[in-house]
Amino acid sequence: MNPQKLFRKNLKGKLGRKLLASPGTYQLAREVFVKRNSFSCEARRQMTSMALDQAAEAYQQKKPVAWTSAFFPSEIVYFFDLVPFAPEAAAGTSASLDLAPDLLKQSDHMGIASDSCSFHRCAAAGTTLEYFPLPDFLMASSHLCDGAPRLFQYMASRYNKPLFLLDVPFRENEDSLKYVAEQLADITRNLERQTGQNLTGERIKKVFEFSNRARRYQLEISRLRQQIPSPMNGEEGLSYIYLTLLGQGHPETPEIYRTLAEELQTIVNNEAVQSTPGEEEKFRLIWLHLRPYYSSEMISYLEKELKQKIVAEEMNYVYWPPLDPEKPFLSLAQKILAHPGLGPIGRRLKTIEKMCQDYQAHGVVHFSHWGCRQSAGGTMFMKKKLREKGIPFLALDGDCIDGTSFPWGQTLTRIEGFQEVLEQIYS
Amino acid sequence: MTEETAGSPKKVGWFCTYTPEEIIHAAGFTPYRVLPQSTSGAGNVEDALPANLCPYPRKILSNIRRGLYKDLHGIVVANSCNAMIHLYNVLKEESDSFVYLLDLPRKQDGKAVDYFTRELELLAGFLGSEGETVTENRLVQTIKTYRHKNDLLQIMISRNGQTSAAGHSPVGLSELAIEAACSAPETFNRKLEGIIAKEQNGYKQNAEGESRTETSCLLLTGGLPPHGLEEILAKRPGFSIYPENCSGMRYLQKPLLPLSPNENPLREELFEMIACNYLEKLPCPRIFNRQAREDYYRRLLDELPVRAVIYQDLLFCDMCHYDYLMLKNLMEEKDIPHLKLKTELGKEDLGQLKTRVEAFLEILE
Repeated sequence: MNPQKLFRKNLKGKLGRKLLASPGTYQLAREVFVKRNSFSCEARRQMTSMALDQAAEAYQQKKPVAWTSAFFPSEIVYFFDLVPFAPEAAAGTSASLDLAPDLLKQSDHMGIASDSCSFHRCAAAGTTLEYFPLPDFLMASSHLCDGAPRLFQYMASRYNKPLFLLDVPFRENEDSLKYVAEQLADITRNLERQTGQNLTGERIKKVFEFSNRARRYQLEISRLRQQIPSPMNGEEGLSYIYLTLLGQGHPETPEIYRTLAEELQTIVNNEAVQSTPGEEEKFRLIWLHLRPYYSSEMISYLEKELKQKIVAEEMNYVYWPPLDPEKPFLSLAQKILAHPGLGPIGRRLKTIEKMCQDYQAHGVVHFSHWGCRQSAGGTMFMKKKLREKGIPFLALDGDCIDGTSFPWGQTLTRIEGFQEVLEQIYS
Repeated sequence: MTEETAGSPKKVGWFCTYTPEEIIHAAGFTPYRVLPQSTSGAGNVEDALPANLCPYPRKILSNIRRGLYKDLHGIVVANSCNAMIHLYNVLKEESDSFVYLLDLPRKQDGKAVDYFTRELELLAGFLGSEGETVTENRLVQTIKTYRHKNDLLQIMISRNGQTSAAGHSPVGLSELAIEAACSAPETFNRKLEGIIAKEQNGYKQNAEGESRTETSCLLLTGGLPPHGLEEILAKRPGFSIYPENCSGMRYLQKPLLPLSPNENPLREELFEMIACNYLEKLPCPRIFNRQAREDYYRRLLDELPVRAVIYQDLLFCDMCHYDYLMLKNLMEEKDIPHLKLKTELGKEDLGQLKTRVEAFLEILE
């Protein structure tokens, strides 16, 4: 049997938990899968290697482990050389390993409401079933999600570990910058006490340099993806969200993005010679929110069968200014408060419109994760406003983690219907 | 939404109990809490808010679209949660009256108070441009009016049990809270003064003959209670209802604003005082202070004769979901029977709600 299939088959139950909680598993996976398997590109291989290293390090528990929610600034984690672990990202992995159905059942037993976000339900169950490495600190931000800080409060009380919550206002002005910056300074001072480390200006400079270099390469990647045809599809692009969540401030992140930028540049150079524009991308799409993690079928159908290529993802969009090591907390606060998804929907709409222009996109697709109040809650409004601007919009209802009730037939019909709309508009 | 009664102050709607009524009032408006009405469903909002969003904003939007709040001159939406932001987006687009979004901290420390103070100044500036300028003098007068309202409410709350014991019609605390939040404070204060004066003799007579009857209490907590729940509970004798929610005690028991008539505070001090006062009120599940919430629940379970708990776990509300998990542990620790309800706040749930609640009450009997 294929070693990957054998590995997946043995993941359920006690043995699986032991396997997943063992650092050796990730080291072995790195040796077996990363070194020997072929990847779509070198950057993807590097990123997988980094993710496996981080997982192994978290389970080794030699360094303090910090659990972070999506959008908590990971630069803070790297200021103190902590090992980050994102329970929400782990939930995504659990879906891809087909562990999510059992975890969701467990969350029901625990009394977690079934109408909560399934990322959070899986994360809570993963905690109880001891799938995850033990945390030393938990860190969550209120942007953009109401559920994450509550989940982290719940998990922190279970482990009786320090919890750092960041309250992010929706307004972006001097007062909100000060409020967020002061909270970040407080969290940092607290971490200094807890870890016994002094955060030096040198360390801040180093971490910010990694973050800023990564940002520069991300912008370069964006520029390359704006080419027609785009050198990278959404199936590939959506996988780099790992770096958005956990990689900002990590030394390997800029290198991975640099590799990706170089690989994309090579494709662009070759395509300019070999390919006819439009041949492999009939329509160019902007993808909003996340994707189903239990199956690639939907995106594959969209991109490979219908030639609707995802040329940019909202989650990979660079919306923040470079970080300034002279004003570290204010600078991080600026980054946080610049998020287009914060507050009223106007900023998000403006960003989407700009992305449509920059990438010469034909339409926008929103994957409406069922338990997401922030993103899915605004779908109807976005649809109305984007259509007023003449931008075709498709909302696909589903769940990123729970594949049991995914309306595949209905989704297929809607995707094909969208294709017809695009053809009518752009023919 | 503007069909005002001639002569009376214009009404401004608000939703979340962290919205300072004093500032709306000081700008010359009557603060009016917009609550889901008894009309069923939220069927006419599917084009704006998806079905998997909290039923509170969905019902509010539905009611507004049905023309239920035509007399509102404007609305202040607090940044309570993602669902309320989505409601703001739609109201801002559809309303011909003003719609203002108030930022609301999730913390209670000095930094949060500072930020909220600045937010309140912005709110006052905006409301002043729509109504009367919010001057120090107007704020001081308003604060005095609200202090008086608070004093009267505390008398009403403390007498609630006695009123029942004296044989008068019991004033439901939720009913009291809703009336308090939806009335002009001056009118409401006069009404309460009348009730209190009228019942003074009854209390005196009663106090000599019998002490307050200590009945079992049913703690009603969680999100906004669904339509008809309190009516169902009121039909079953033997329990008094303690509404620990934002349309009950969390609205009624705000700390008193620390203003003495001789003081002459500066404008910024007044805003800071209000900001502090609101952020220090009984903690709501939205506030990032799980310990305070847990301590508060413990205090309620220890100090009140709680026979059972009904938790309204509002659908699609993450604050409620995680708050319930904490309370569930406490109730199990103290062996208190409890019932978790999941409703959409409307009449459509009533049949099922009645069956479940009555079955629960029968078990308690």
